[in-house]
Amino acid sequence: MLHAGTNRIDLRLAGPPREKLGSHQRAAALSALTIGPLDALQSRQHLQTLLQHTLPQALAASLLLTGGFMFVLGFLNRGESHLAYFGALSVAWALLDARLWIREWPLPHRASELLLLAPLPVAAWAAVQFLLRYSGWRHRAVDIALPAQTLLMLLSLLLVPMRHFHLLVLAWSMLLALEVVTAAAHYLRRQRRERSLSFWLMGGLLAVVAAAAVIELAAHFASVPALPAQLAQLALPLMLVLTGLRLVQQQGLARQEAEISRAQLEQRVREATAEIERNFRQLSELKVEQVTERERKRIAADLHDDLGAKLLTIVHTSENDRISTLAREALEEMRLSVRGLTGRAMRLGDAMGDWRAEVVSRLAQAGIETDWSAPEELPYTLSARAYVQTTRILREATSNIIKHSGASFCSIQCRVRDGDFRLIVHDNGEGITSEPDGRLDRGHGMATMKQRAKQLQGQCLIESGPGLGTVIRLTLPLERALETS
Amino acid sequence: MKHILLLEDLAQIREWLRKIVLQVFPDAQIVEAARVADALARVTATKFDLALVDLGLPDGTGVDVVTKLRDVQAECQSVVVTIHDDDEHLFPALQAGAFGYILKEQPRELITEQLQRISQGEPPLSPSIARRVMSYFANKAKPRADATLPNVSLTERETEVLLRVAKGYTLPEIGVQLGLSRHTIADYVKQIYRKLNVSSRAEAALEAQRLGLFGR
Repeated sequence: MLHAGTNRIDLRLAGPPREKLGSHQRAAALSALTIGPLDALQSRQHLQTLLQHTLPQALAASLLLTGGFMFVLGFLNRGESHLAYFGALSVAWALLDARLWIREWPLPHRASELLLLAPLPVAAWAAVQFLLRYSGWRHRAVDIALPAQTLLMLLSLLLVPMRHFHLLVLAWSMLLALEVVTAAAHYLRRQRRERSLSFWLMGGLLAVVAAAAVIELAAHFASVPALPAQLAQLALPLMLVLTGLRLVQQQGLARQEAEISRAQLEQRVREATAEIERNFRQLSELKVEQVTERERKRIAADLHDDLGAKLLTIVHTSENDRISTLAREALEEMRLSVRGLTGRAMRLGDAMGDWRAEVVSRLAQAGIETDWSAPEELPYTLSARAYVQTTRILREATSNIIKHSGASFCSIQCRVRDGDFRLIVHDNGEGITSEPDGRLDRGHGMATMKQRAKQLQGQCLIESGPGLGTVIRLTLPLERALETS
Repeated sequence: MKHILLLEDLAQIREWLRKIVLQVFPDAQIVEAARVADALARVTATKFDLALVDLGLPDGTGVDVVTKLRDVQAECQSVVVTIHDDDEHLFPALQAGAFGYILKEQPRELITEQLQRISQGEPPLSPSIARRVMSYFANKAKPRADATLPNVSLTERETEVLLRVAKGYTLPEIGVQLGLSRHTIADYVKQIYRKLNVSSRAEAALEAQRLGLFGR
């Protein structure tokens, strides 16, 4: 195409002058002319196409996608409003970048310029709000001022004379950039105070953005080498995509945490429910126990007050000794029954203390010498019933010795052997003469004593002969005596 | 001459008790009452040396009368006369300040003897009551938040006597075992009753204070 000598190339720049445009990139301009072989120039052209068209378009497309997605996400979840603003920022920026590859619009000049610039204040608005909300700060005045500013900017651009258009856009851009920088500073200060990892991540991203913005602004005033300017153009959307990924990651983590804490909460609710049920069950068991106990006490009190008072009157008013003695015994029996009714299991050691006190003092009063031997500590308990029945047997045996035996000495041994409680009462009295049928005297209550022992799954053996004294051997199984309580 | 209060709701038993009292104290001046309210009114009017108090009465419990007597006539000896021989019924009365108890259905001779002993300063003490007293003082010995209670505790000897009574030894037997006179042992028992009363009353007063009965 070129030939030796002087060559003339006619170049025609299409496009409005810089003053009438919103962005200098769209102005008609000419870079340094390079003439060379096609092969050498073609690779440069490829690079330029990549930097100026393919990459911005790909980034814009991904920004649109992630931005839209995050806008919906943040819009649905009011607690995550920063996501919505970030989405808006991404979408606005993607639209803003459209000016780079859409050269001609089928619209009047001012209208198309306005349309192309409209996303700029929106992006600034979204960016400021995103940074503020992300750092957990919101203010009503800011919420109102930013949309108002957007309207004001578009209105002013609509009215300004076309020759000052570019200047005004530049002024507005400076103002918006200043706002975003302020918001970013605020955000970083907050993050730094919380010493979070986000401070470094977002700080790095914002630094890149700031550098890109500086280069971009510088391009308005001076000629900047093409490559840095183009890279700066690319940096911003790239940072936005990265920030978006970071936000999605945080969102995911938060979801995971929420899921875990929800599971923990559920677990705790389950545990609390189980505990409440357990407490309720215990409470109702306690209630039943209390009611039973109260009823027993009422019956016992009734017995004491009614039957007891009547028997007592007989004891003290009867002229007949036999009757008053019978009434007294009936009263004692009644009291023992009440004790069996209301009584709790008793320590064997305590029971033996009671028995000793009664038997020894009664025998002492009758002038009978007594030898009581019992082990010191016994880790057993007796049911109230076993205690009452044994008391009766012992009382009967003591009465027999006092009334009938004529003994001067009595030994009583308490033992625990092979899980059995053994009581041996041995007196040196006359002994009991056998009846003609070979049985021991039933008038002495021996049969009753045996029957009582039998009720406790134990046995009561009585050995006696004329002049040999009497031996009463009582054996009670301790475990089974416990069960009958 | 002794002034004696006799609180018993059954007329026949009251009459029978009156005879016994007259047998022990021939020149006694006896004031009879059948209701708690009646007895309380008498306590404010007359000074008594001895009071025989039934526990289960139609309009309340004799424990209230024992408490009142301890409050206004500290020198009067209250003796519980009851058909309840269990510590659950007797213990509150002893805490309120009763100086012993007599079981109503016992033969006349035995009651006469017991009454004499009590008036001579030898109150009875059963194994079950002794156990109850021991566990009461054992619980008190545990450290508590409020140090305002007077520090009433049993001496080693008193505890020793209680322990032996709880095991079923009679007071004379304990005297022999410890090499002490019957009189000394009786003094220990008296002292135990007194301490039980002092400690219980201090506790009751503190409880009342906590509930805001005082200082209002």
